[in-house]
Amino acid sequence: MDPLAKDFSNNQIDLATLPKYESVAFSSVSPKYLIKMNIQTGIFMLVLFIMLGVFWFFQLNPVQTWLIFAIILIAFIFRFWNNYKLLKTLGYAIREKDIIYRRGFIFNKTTLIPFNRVQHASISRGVWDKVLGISSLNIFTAGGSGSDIIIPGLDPQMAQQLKEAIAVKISND
Amino acid sequence: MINPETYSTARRQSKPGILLIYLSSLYKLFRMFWALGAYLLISGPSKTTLVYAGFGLLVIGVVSFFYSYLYYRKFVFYVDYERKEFVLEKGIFSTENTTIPFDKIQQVYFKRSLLQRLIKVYSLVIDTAGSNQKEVEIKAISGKDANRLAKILLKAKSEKPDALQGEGDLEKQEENNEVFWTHKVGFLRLLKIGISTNYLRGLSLIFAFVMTVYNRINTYFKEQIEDVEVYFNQFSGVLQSIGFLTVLFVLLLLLSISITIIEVFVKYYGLKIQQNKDKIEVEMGLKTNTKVSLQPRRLQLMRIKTNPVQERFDLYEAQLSLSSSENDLQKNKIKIPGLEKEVVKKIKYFLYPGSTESSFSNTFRPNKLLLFRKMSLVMLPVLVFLTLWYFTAFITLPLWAVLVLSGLYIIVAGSIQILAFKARKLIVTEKFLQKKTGFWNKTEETLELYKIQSVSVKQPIWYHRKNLINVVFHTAGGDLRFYAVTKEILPSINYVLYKAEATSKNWM
Repeated sequence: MDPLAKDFSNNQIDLATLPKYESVAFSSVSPKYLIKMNIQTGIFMLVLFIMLGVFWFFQLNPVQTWLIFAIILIAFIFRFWNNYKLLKTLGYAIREKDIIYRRGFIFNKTTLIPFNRVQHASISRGVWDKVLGISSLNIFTAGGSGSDIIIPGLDPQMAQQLKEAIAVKISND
Repeated sequence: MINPETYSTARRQSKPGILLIYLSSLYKLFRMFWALGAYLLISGPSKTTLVYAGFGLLVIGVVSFFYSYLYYRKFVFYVDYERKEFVLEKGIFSTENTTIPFDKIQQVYFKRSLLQRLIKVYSLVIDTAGSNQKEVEIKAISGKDANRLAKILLKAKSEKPDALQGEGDLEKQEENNEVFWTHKVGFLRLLKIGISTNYLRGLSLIFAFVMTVYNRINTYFKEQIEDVEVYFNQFSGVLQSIGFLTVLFVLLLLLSISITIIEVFVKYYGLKIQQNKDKIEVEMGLKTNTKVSLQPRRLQLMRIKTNPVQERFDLYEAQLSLSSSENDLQKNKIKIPGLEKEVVKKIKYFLYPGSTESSFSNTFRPNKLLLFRKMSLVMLPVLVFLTLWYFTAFITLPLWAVLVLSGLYIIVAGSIQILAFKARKLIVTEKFLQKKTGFWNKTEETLELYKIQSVSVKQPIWYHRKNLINVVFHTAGGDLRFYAVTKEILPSINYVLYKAEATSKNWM
């Protein structure tokens, strides 16, 4: 027989009594991540402005230039505002059996990964992360890119601890 | 024997690796900028430009050499025996730290390109389950090191008790080869599949035919022709050309049908399904004979498709997403067309035992918002059509024809959307998740709850007021999405998670 049969039980489960993911308290990420996002958005904006300047120098008339300038400016004001809102929605929570990650203001998305489905976890640090002293924690599953999560803006030590905790959890299964 | 503690300290790649990194980064640069260089050469450069360009190239060469050296220095890997994992660190400016627990290693193998052959190094690839992005590749490692490291990793992996058990299972399975039932798809059925699969292509051909003929007649009647004799001459000319067109289109139609039939024959000739005690074997194909064994353990997601035409012929198509560690090169999705309802039932019964019994069953349907969105998408062509007709001379039709055409389209497309919307539902039972969609092309997706990898819950800002969410269940064989459902589904999501977390069964 199946060795599992020994400690097998099949009690009915009341759906209402199951732990609710939607009522967990999320930890937020470091505000330094907002700085990183703003730096990146800012650089992108600068590049666009420089390109616009070059175009203006060669062939655009002032009206067109100002129009495009205004459009870019509005778009980026929106992006900066979105960055700010995004940071507020960024959050993660760790339960006994899974990790929950929430992000996005306009498109809010919450991903839940059970620890026994994690393939591996890694830490990555970009140039700005190093300057600002933050890390990203990447958690991979076998479910393709939509199912993986990258938690940015973590304190490096915290990221390391989380990664180790996850490593322990997944090797326990 | 190998000393078990080897590779426990950080190691770099073998020295010739620098050369490999250098050459490959030069190659990358070349690929990026060759167009620029070619342009420079063609434009007939002056001597000074050439000198500057040469100098620039030299600088790039030196800089990228330093870069390669640094990259080599920063690329370290080691085996952490205590934590039972393999660690790889790389990156100069941004560091990437990857750890692979031993039991997540699926496969360790070597690769060699021509260049690697020349400088006598190997690529060591460590495969973990899942997508190709997560594999780790050490590009320059000496043959000796590669062998030893691979041995250590594979040994460490097989020391895990459940891995051993898995292999035991495999051996057992091979002993049991008693055949329960066999199903063969014959010539006639393949023909039926061929005819019924690509009817859309045929329909669009017929539509194109009608349109062209209509245009011909239209342009003819528009021309003001006074002379009766000329009139008749022209008319017979039009008739002739219509006759010619008919022949052409019939030929095209036949061609299209026969191409589909040939395709079906090449792909599925000799389709044979056979069930043993613990697996179903599928064999098919004329040119390349595919042989796949389906085990419940490997199955991630099953899709059954049909449409009213095929239903009449008793043709159902099964699409199965499997995950296999043995064979990552092969596509993990297999399509079996032309199954009878009975056979589908048998396959389901084997792969998903107990899918019919459940103590509860919750059905969810999408909100009207989804219908609204789909409707507006469908109406887009009408808008384009009307603008084209109104503002350009591209479409020359009288007003009544335009109204009739767009009215017909709106009625047909609209009712299809409404019917499809009504057919859309998600069913959560004790062990399974099932999504049914489609009014014409009916699709039924089923997955076992514990096979999910993760769950995503999405809520765009405009869903807030109606309290709706989009749910995506990720599995190793693809995603199952269900959009615009009310938050009443949350307890079921929690239940799905509970099922995945509480199970002791491995998802593959």
